[in-house]
Amino acid sequence: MNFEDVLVQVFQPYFYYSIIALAISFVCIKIVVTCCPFMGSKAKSLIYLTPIVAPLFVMFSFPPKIVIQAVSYRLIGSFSIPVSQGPMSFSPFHLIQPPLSQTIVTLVALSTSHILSVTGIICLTGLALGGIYAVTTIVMGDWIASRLLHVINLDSNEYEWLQTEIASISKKLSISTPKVALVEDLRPNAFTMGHGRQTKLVFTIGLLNILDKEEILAVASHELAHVKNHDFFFKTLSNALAAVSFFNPLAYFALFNSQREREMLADENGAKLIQKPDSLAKALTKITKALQNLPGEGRLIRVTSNLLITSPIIHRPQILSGHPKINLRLKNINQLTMPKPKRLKPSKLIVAVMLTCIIIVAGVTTTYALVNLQSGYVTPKIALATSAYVKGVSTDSIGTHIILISSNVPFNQMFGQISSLQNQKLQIISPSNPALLNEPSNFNQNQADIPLQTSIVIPGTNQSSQIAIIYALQNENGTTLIIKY
Amino acid sequence: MIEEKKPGFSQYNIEGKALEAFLGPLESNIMEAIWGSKKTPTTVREIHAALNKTKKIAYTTVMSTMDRLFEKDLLDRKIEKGRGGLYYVYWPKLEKRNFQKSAVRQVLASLIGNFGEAVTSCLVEETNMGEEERKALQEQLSKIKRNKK
Repeated sequence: MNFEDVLVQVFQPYFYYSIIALAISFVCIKIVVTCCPFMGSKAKSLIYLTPIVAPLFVMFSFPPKIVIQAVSYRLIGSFSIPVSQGPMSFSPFHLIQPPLSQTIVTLVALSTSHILSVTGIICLTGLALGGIYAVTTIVMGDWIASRLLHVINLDSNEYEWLQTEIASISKKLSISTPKVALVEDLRPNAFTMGHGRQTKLVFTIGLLNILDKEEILAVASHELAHVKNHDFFFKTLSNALAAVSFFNPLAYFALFNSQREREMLADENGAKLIQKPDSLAKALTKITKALQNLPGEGRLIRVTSNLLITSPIIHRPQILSGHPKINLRLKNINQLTMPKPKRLKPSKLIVAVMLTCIIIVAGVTTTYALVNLQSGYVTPKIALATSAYVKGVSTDSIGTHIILISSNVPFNQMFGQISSLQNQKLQIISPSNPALLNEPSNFNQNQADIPLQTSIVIPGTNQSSQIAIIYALQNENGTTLIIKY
Repeated sequence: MIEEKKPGFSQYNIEGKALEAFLGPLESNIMEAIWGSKKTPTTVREIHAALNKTKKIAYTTVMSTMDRLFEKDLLDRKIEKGRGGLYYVYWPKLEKRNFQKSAVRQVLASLIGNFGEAVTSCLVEETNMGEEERKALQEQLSKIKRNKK
């Protein structure tokens, strides 16, 4: 795959528009969130979803394709047409306007072929991954997680006090009482699994061993807050959306930012529920300390907890973690007793609006530049210092013929320059082999005094599916004659 | 081969059958399950699953009983890292035969220490020993007593 093919793949709208949409919206939202400290965790968690929703809209607007039309340009040559030669005919196509002054005619061969779209397959894989993940998690996520983590359901007489308290908090929250379960793991942690009536609150043995009753209850209320906030669906949806853009690292940043805000929200709600923010803070501190002295969880647990479990109470600190750092969580819990800033300072608002505008403009400009790059990266810039006319173009069993007329420059000299630019596919038929020239029947015969005539042939372009089309683009650089096959 | 150690129990239940003479019913069931388990060492979850096949039992009950057996020095344990996380794995400190032998020896030593002659005559009566065997046993018991002093 050459550079040209890579560009063709990358510049498919479903691919690069989705990347740019995600990047612009992520940066804008980061600015807005930073400049709006009054924004609550719930609003932040929702707004952070925008960057990962954007690519989905792009893919609906520009559906990904498995096979794409690859267009490749090949520079054949360039000629300057002097004014003195006057108007000329481009029969039978009549696509080029007669040059009004000295015009540079650039010959470009434009070939199209159908190739497998790697980026289309990547995008479709993302959509499939997101869909499969969402369905699997909703239908059987809790079953898979139970099997993998060896979750043990508690009988009603086990940890009776805890089950009673959980039932009482659930009633307060108007949610159905979740089942309580255990995991043998000695690392302290707790999480929720499943949804609706299948929701389970799972505690590890390690957590029950190191926390006192009040702290265990604080952890339980944090988990119940997740249930109340429908975080199972939130996490499933956000993970599925991120899976659509699995090839874009920014999607993970947006995802984890959103999930961190969800944790903050559960901390706030949980601490309010038991009316003892201190207990939750103590529990989090104890768990963090205990985890520091224990080996990290295995890869399977990490993947399972990231994908199938809603919100383990704590995660090991890492860049791409759905959990905020412990100090931020403790700070957030402590702030519950303090009043929040209600008003946004005008200066901050102006900065936020300005930065957002700049980012959007920069993004749109970048997109525009990239689109132009796509169509113009091979625009020929080289003009040969030779004079020639394009007399006509035709196709036959050999290929596409471009008939050139030169008044004063020997062809061997001109073709010496053209040959250095052309593709291997092109054959130059010299005037010494006139039998191969295939002049269009209605070629303007009036210009009989033309001293020299030759032809360039692009072989193999006469198939029914490869109809040669000639068209011309005129711009300030001259005329570009494009032969599409 | 597991070397012989003194199992930790303090009571002898005269009405208990087999291991239940030395241990509680659940404790002896757990010990039997551990000795009978093909996989050693074993986890609480596995023993819980094995016991649940015959009678429904709570996981936490099995967990706390195995913890008690560890404190009694009948089981040993270590932390292992597996796919379920970090968990305790347990194994018996004594093989079943050695445990029985060691338990009987402890009971006998206690009986002889407290009731010496009565134990000898009871044993003679119970087993219909000849004169020579009786003398040999007497000597053996005297030796045990001397060693104890």
